[in-house]
Amino acid sequence: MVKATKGKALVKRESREVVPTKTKELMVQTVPVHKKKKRITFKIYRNDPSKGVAPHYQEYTHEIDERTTVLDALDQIKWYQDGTLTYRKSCRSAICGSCAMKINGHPKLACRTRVEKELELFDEIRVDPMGNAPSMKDLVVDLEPFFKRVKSVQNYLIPKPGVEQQKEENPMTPAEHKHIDSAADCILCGCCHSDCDAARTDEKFIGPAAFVKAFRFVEDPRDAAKKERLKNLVENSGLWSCVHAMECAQACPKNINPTDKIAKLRQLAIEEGFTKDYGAKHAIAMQEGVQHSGKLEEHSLPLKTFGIFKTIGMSGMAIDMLTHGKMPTPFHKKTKGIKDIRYLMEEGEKWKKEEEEERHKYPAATQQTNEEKKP
Amino acid sequence: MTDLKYAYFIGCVSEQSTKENDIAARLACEKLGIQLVDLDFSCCGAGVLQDVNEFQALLVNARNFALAEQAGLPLMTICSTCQFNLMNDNKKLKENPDLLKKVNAKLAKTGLQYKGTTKITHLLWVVSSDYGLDMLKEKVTMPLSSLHLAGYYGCQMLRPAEVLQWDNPDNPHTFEDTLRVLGCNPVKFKRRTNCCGFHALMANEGPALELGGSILGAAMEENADAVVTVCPLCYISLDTYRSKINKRLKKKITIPVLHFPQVLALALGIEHKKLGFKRHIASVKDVVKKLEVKS
Repeated sequence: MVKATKGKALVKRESREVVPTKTKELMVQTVPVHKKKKRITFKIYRNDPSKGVAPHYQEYTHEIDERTTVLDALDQIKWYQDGTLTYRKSCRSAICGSCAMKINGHPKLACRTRVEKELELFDEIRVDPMGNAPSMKDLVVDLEPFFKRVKSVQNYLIPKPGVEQQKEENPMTPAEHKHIDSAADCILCGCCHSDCDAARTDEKFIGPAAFVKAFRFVEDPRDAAKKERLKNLVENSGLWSCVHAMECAQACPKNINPTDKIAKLRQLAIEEGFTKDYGAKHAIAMQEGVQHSGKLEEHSLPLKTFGIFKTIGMSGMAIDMLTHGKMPTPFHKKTKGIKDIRYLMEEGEKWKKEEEEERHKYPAATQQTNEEKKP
Repeated sequence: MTDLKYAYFIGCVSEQSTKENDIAARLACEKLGIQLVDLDFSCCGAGVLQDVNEFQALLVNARNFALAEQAGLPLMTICSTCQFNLMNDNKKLKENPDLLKKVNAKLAKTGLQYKGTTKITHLLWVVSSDYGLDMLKEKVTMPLSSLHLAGYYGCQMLRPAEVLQWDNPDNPHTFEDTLRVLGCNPVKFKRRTNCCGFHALMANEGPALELGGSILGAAMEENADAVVTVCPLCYISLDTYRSKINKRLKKKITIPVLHFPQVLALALGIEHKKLGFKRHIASVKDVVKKLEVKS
C-alpha cells in the first residue's frame, strides 16, 4: 500500500515538472527583473506636542528596490527601526485616502507613490504632514477642520418631492450620471486641500474637496436644493476666491480636477442670477469685452467690476499706472474677425442651453434586436 | 540661422498694460532669427470667460487654433494663462472627435475648419527646447553674470502636468537652466511654483495680495536681484499691484519684477533702454546699474 502511494505521488510530481517550452518562455518574460537594491535616506517630519517634542526632521536609512512605495518604506522603518513613528494608513490601494502626506513637498498618497519615481526628481525622500491642516503627531494631521468644510456644503441629497416616497428606483440619464460621476469619485483624502493657495490665505474659502462635493449634489437631478446650495457657495464659501493655482488638479489621486468643478459651479451660480459679487461681475465684464472687441478689455474691467466709487478708491494704483505709461486705453484694437467672434459667442450661448437640455434626455433608442446584431 | 517660425499669440494684457513684454519678445526673437507671424487671434478666455460659459471659450479658441493651422504654424504664447487655457481647450478637441465635429459644424460659417493639429508652445519652451540651450549659449553676447535672478514659474505653466506636459511640476528645472545659459545666477526659491494670486485679485483682493507678497518675500529671502516671470498676469500681481501689496503687508518691498523676454533680450545684447523698463512700478534701476558696472 505504502509503496503504491509513493509511486503514485512520484509520478504526479514528475508530470508537474514537465512544462511546455512555450509556457516556460512566457514565465521568464512575466517575472519582473529586479534592479539592485539600494539604501536611501528618508527625512521624516517628527512632532509630538503631548511629550513636548518640537517639530524637527529625523533621518532614517532604508533599503529599497524599484517596487518599494513610500508607505512600504514607512512601515519598514516603523516595524524595524522606530516604533514611535506615527502616520495614518489603511487600504494600501489608493481607495481609502488615509495615507495622504507631503512627499518632497507635494501632497500624495504614500501607498501609490514609488520611492524610485521620486528619486528621479530628488536626491532624498522628505516626508511632511499635509498642508493647510494642523499636525497632531508626526505625519498625522487634524482633519476635523477639513471635514467641517466638506460638511458645510450639506454633503447629502436633499430629495425632490416624490423622490423619497417613490417605491421604485429614481433613475438619472446616462449623461446626467456622467456629468457628476468624476465628482462622486472623491475619496476625501485631502490632497487637494493640502496645497491650495486660496485656502492657505483665506479662512472662508472652503477648499477644492468641499466644492467637488457641492458640485456632485448641485448637479444631481434628484436634488431639490440647487439654488440654495449655490447661494450658500457664493455667499459663505468663497466660490469666487479660487486662484486657479491648479494645485488641486495636479494633486488629486483620482484625477477629479476640482478647479474644473469650481468653474462649472461659477457658471451655474451666474445662471441662477447670483451676479452681485465682484467675481461674477468681473467674469461677466470679461465676456462683454470679448463680445465687444474679441479681447479682454483692461480699461473697463475695474469699473464694471467695482463700480465708480471703489474704482476711484483705487486711485493710488491708477497713479502708479499712469506715471509708468501702463494705463490701458479704451481705444484698444479690435480683433479683425470680430463678426466671427460675435457669431461664435452667440453659438456658444445656444450650445450651452442645448447641452443642458440634452443631458436630461434619455438617448434615442439604441437597443438593437437580436436579429440586427447577427453579422 | 534657424528656420523657426511661429504664429505669435501676444495675449490681451501684453497688447495693453504690459506692452513691454511684447516689445521685448519681438526684439529677442528677431535677434535669435525666430520668425513671429501675427494672426487675427482673439482672447483665450483667461479662465474667466470659462467661468461664465465654457462653450463660448471653446469656440473662440477653436477659431484661434484653426487660424494657426491654416497658416501651418505652431502657436507661441508669452503668457502662462494663455498657455494653459489654449492647451486645455486644444486637449479637449484633440481627444474627443465628437466634440471636434460639433465645434467644426459651428466654425463652418466663419469659413474655418480645425483638424486638431495645432501645437501650442511658450517662448520659454521655444528657447529651451525648439531653439536649444546649446545654440542659445552661442548667441549670448552680454552674459548677465552680475545678476541673481529668481525664475518664477507660477502655476499655469506647470499644472496640471497632464495638460501642459512640460517640466515636472514637483521639481521643475528648465527656467533655471535657461537663466544659467543667459549667464546669470539662477536663484531657486521656495515659492517658485506657488500662486501669485492674480486670478482672485478682483474677487478677493486681500488674500490675493498676500499670495503675491509671499512670492516676493520668498525671492528676497534668497537675495535675488529681481523676480523673472513667464506670465504678464503674474507680473501685474507682483508689480502693478505693488503699492497695494505693500499697504496690505505694511512693508516696503522694492524688488523689481522682470518679464522673461526682457531678460532674454538683455543677454542677447539688446540695449536696456529699448526694453520698456521705465514702465515698471518697482524700479529696475539697480538691476541696470549692476549690468552697466559689469560692462
